[in-house]
Amino acid sequence: MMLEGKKIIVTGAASGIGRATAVLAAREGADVAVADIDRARAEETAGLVQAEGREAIVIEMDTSKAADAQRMADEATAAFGTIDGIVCGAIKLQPAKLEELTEEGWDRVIDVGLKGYFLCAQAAGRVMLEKGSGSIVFLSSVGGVQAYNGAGAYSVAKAGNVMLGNLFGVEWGGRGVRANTVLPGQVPTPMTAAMFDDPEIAAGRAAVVPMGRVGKPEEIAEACVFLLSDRASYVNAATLKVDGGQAESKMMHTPGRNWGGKKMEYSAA
Amino acid sequence: MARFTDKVCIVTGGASGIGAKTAEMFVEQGGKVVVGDVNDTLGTEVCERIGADNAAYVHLDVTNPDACQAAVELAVEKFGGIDCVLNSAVKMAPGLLKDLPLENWNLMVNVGLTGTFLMSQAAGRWMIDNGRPGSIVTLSSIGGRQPYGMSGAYSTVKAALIMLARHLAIEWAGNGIRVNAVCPGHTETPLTAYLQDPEIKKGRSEVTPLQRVGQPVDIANGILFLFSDEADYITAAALDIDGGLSMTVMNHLPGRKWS
Ligand SMILES: NC(=O)c1ccc[n+]([C@@H]2O[C@H](COP(=O)([O-])OP(=O)(O)OC[C@H]3O[C@@H](n4cnc5c(N)ncnc54)[C@H](O)[C@@H]3O)[C@@H](O)[C@H]2O)c1
Ligand SMILES: NC(=O)c1ccc[n+]([C@@H]2O[C@H](COP(=O)([O-])OP(=O)(O)OC[C@H]3O[C@@H](n4cnc5c(N)ncnc54)[C@H](O)[C@@H]3O)[C@@H](O)[C@H]2O)c1
Repeated sequence: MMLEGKKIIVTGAASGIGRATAVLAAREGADVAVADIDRARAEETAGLVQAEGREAIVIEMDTSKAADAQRMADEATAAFGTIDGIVCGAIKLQPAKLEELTEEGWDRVIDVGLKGYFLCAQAAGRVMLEKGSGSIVFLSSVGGVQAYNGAGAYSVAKAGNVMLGNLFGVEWGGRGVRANTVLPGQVPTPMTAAMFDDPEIAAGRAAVVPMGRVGKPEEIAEACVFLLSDRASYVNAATLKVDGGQAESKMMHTPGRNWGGKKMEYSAA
Repeated sequence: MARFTDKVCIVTGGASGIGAKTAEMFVEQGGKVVVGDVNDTLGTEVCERIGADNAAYVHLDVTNPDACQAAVELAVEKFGGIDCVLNSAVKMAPGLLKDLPLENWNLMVNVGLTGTFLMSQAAGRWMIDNGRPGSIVTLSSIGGRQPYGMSGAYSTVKAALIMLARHLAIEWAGNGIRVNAVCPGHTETPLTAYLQDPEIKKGRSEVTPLQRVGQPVDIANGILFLFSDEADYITAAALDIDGGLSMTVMNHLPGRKWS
């Protein structure tokens, strides 16, 4: 098991990728602090962690509040004795065209999705610095390296996640705390349900990915668990795309080009 | 079932350093390897150490398409197919670009870049023709991200390898073949013999956020992750394994220090 005995916090763990990460971390041997603003769904995730035979605690919190981030670190430490890693994923979407984006819409995304990453990584990180080991993983997005039009401040927050991850890695790496960033492509989750529930959009989104399909929350979770684990012990201030090749496919959308490879049919076996 | 049970991997440059370590760990985790290299003595030793049931050596000069084809055929004959390829072969020919002989430039480009193309093409053709999905990893370098004194040809090749990996990934994604690059930082292998000088090693450790140089196992762990099903939505990516070194430019400004 890759995370045997480790104590991991996951923010945004009530849903989607955060939940999948909490469950996979547990399957790999970790006890998990499920941190989210949505208590009811966080309790469900905690149940899934326990079903893997590991301990779970629920921390109801708002990542954009420093006092909540501190309480998160305190409660995790009180319950588990220490913290070995944190995955930051909590996000609140406020999509809007730039000409219509409100100050509140901008602030909410930046507060939860960027400041919240800083506050939570800082609070959990102080515990890890103290003992001289730990791993921070940020969930950014392909939208952090490519402008995601119509998504308001999302791409800006996500680009900020990458730089913040690098900054933590550079400042803290020498004291045993690594920090890295995962860039998921398109993944059906409650966040993206509104789009993927439309079969036409779902088919179109799969088709623009070189691998011909969208990703699964579990596939993003695998990358997070790898980066949390000692297998990644020399990976620091790095970014890892988990997107089926999407971020590198811009030029293939030029009319007159196609993917080249013929699609293969896989049998169920 | 182990992580690579029933999986077969070809490792170019597998006689030494990162390639040899990856070959060893691939077998430890359940797989079979074909080790290809131009250094037959070392390559044979590596395979003997791993054990003949799980490792076969082939003399492989990656600049020769027939040799790449022969490595594919050996993997198929001996182990029944190919699932993974590690392009690790490299031939260093450092020097200032102003003075670099064409011969040295060609050697770097031929082994590092053309060799990676030829090996990937031979293996990819087999995978596509046989409807078998696969995972290819190419070793680029942090030198492929940033220029590096005396390494003009090397860095140019290593940058091109990232693009080659992306291109293969895009072309072959529909065939279920994933292709990714790994960019190691300073890693202690025979290639980097200068790290045996304690002063250089200390200096290079200190400029790395994690305060140490890399070991082949650090790089092999990332390669094996990309080979495994855990990475089955990762393609056209480049993973830095450098302890954070490539993000440290601002740390070299006078008046700044690490923590
Ligand atoms: N789904 C995708 O396609 C996709 C793609 C790229 C990146 N990502 C990133 O992955 C992460 C997870 O995304 P998801 O799709 O699983 O989203 P999701 O909406 O399913 O989950 C987000 C969770 O964050 C919680 N949350 C919202 N505001 C909070 C706050 N202030 N404090 C604490 N928790 C709060 C929500 O309650 C929810 O449980 C996000 O950072 C997202 O940007 C997702
Ligand atoms: N060691 C590092 O610090 C470092 C850093 C970044 C990237 N890399 C990359 O990792 C890879 C492996 O490096 P290493 O340090 O293990 O090197 P190494 O010198 O230990 O191994 C390279 C192997 O390639 C073989 N080779 C040379 N020419 C060949 C040819 N024509 N055909 C087949 N094999 C050939 C050599 O015989 C040798 O066994 C290289 O691509 C290198 O550029 C290494």
